[in-house]
Amino acid sequence: MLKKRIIFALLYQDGFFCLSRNFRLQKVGDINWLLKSYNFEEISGAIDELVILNLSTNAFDHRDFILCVEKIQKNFFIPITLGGNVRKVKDADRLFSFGADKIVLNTLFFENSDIAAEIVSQYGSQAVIASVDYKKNELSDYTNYMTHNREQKLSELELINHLQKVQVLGCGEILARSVERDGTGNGLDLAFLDFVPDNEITVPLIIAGGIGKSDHMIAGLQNSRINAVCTANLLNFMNKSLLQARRSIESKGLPVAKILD
Amino acid sequence: MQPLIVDTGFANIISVKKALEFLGYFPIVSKDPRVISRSGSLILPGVGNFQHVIKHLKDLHITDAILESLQNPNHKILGICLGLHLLADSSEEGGSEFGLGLIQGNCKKITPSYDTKIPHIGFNSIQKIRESKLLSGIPEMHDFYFIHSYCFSPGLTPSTTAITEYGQSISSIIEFEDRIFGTQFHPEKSQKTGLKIFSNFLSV
Repeated sequence: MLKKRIIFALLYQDGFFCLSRNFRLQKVGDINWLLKSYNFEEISGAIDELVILNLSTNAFDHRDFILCVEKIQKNFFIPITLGGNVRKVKDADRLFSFGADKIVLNTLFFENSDIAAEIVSQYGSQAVIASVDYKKNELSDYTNYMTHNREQKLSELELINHLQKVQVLGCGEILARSVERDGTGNGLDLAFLDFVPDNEITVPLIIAGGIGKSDHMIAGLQNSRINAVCTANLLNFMNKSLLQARRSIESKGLPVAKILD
Repeated sequence: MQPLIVDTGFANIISVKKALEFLGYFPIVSKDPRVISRSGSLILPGVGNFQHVIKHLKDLHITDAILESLQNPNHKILGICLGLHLLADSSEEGGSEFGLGLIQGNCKKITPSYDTKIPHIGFNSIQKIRESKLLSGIPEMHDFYFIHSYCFSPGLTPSTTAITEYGQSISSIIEFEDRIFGTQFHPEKSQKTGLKIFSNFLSV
């Protein structure tokens, strides 16, 4: 039986690992702080995948980011997803050559979908996650948002149209993130699934935005349409918290992979 | 025996190399046909599109080198994910180039259904159906990490030693004559227990 997944995400910007709150990044600590607060060899036993996004303002400065990626992924063996600032096929090539199993694309699906399709044809659908950020509009309908130059700009595309588009272009997974819940720790926005008909998402769905404790992960994983939950909450899951969260998810009888020591 | 990781140009070579080094091996990574044809323990990792990769390997004469190496009855190979498909006769992914033909069969897209989304991504359990060298010392129904859209079809080949259920039975491990091996899942992405697959392969 296919198991549900718990994904941990790290947001990197200009030398610091950050907390995102409604898409505004707050610096928390550098790589030394991160490695002191998280023993990745140990917590890799609590998560199924790790995502590391480079949101640096200088898109060409990959060197420090890659040094961090190397330091983080020592001695554990789970899938790594990298992303951030992918504008050309060459950017994707670079992330894959640094050891990414998958990459995350967001803006590219708005600005240059031909390149997104090109990346899919070279690396396969399974290697591309479409990150789709959404926000309720005033009519309490859902309208799609994109992040662009770190400013939020309302896209002209409706959420559903955009979900269709990224799947037609061949993404292998969708990472849906609520802009309003992002970094609040108030729980996931599961109501958006009522707005998106079941058959509109035919690839695995990862949901993010709002996870502050294990109960929020449980609520997400209990939903039959959700394949994985993702949190980037850098402060709420320090030390042993991720291991404890996995234990409570297991104790609810949710199907997650059995990980042996 | 020193393992050789075939540099297919697309796969995540770094993680396979890291896994082998963690186990205490000193793997060579090469795309040089002369080096590959002399190596006794080949590992063929795989990410990407079947047609893209097999064409690339043929252009670089890597396919010939692999077949040349395996002329020696003491030489062996382990294909991972797409690397397993490359060992097959053919695949419907992308076009009409043939595979290495080391394992009889074709690869087809997984049939989607309501609760089997494509790609098949995540940890899934494997069930041993025959004596398996690769699974030695690994608990029954253990979870391994899968990430693929294509698989052997029909699901069961005469050399399948373990299967995984995903709307259909998928060949998750194939072992032929104790020297042609393949896993549909990624041992290098399946936590530390997954690495046991590599040490089992290398100690056959």
